[in-house]
Amino acid sequence: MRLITTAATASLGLLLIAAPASAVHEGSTYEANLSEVADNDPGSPSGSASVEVSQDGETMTVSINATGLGNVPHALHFHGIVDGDEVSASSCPTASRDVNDDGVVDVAEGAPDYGGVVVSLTTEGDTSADSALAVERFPAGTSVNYSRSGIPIPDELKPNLAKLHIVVHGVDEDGNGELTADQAERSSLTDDLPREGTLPALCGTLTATGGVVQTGDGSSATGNNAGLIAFGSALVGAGALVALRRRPSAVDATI
Amino acid sequence: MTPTARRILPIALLLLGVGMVAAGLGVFSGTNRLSINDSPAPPLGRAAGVDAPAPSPSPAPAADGTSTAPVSLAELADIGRASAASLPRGITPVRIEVPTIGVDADVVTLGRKNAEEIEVPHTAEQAGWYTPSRRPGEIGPAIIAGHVDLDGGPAVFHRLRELAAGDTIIVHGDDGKQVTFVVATKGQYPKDGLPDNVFGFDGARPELRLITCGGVFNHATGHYEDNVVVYAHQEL
Repeated sequence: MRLITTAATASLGLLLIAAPASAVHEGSTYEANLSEVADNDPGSPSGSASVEVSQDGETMTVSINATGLGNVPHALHFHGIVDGDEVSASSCPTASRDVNDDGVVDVAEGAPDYGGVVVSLTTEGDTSADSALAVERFPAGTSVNYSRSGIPIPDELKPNLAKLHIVVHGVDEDGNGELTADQAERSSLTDDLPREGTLPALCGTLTATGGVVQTGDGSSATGNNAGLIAFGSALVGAGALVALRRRPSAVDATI
Repeated sequence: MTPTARRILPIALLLLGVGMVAAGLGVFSGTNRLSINDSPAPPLGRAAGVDAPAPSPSPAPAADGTSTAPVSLAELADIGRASAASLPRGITPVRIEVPTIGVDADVVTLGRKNAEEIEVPHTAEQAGWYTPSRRPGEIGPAIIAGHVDLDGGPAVFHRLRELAAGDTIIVHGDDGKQVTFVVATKGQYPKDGLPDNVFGFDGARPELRLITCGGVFNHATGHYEDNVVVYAHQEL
């Protein structure tokens, strides 16, 4: 019986150890550094972006600063491989995703890596996936300074923001400084847009913001002889204590 | 994209998705084989997903032969879900072994202490997994921290700085599986100046960062000035 109890206690201990920290997503912040999707030259000399996301319960604030883009509209999306309430960790697409070998990774070819659209980072109005192709409500130009707060977070994504991808779409393929509406190649998502309107230009993966890690109290420090100093201090202290004790007794002795 | 390519794309995507579901890409098969030591057949990634929805683009060539039906947003999401079966899922870590430096320690879970600091283990003997980071074995960086010293003596990661490229780190999951990482490099940085690739996404494979303290101990603050970071990854 005692053995069983001990085993049960051990199991309980293991469960407690294994229990995930709760509510880690409340008030959490996330970051991503975006880089060019292979082969999809978004502009010159090279495009990049930094993204910050702060989660405040039901909504989030998203800031995107992107440079080196083509002068076309830029659909901004959160993408994710979402199955029920589970989100898979993955990376951004590489050139190997160009399965039709046409020299670019189009928006559908990248989906095995970044999945579907889960949030549309529009400048106004709806932010759901339904607005994924609302080109008129996305920023445009060679750089993007986007910031919007109060963006609703779909329930299944609330604990999983750190696994989402941020994709900046829109590439000026022909370099004519504008969206070429009559481009022969059409978007793999809609015939209403030219291919350059939805090509993924930049992609990055969100991770939880880091922080300061305080993992030591100096009790074995050697780099500055802290241990020696501590030991020495202890000796000095002990010596002083001995001296203090001896002095009265010495005084006593003389009386 | 040429008209021919446009016609081929949906089919290619379908084949790609089906191929990944059925067999897993070679690279991920390699992951499973190399990364799980002494582990029975089930791979890290979900078993080839009979239940995973296959992408279902239904190409309908237009009469003029120059156009095919675009991939809908729902189909885009399906393509992602189909590939999930081949992605490594990682483990919830409960123990870490670093043979080179004699570490065999329990792993607890760590959240954030406050806006600036992440939690650290309460004891000298334990290491801790920062739960907002990736699960070890998932694509992306998993963070495991431990003390260099505590409560009067050396702690679990006291010898972390001795690790060198090629050393192995074995992380055990609560499901009995384990993931083996290989040390790539290490660094020592002021605590407020950690490089982006410590916590940030880096590379396209499962990564591990072991973090402890180092450098000069500041008696005024009661903390070390630096962090020592060991960068490791799962061999793919």
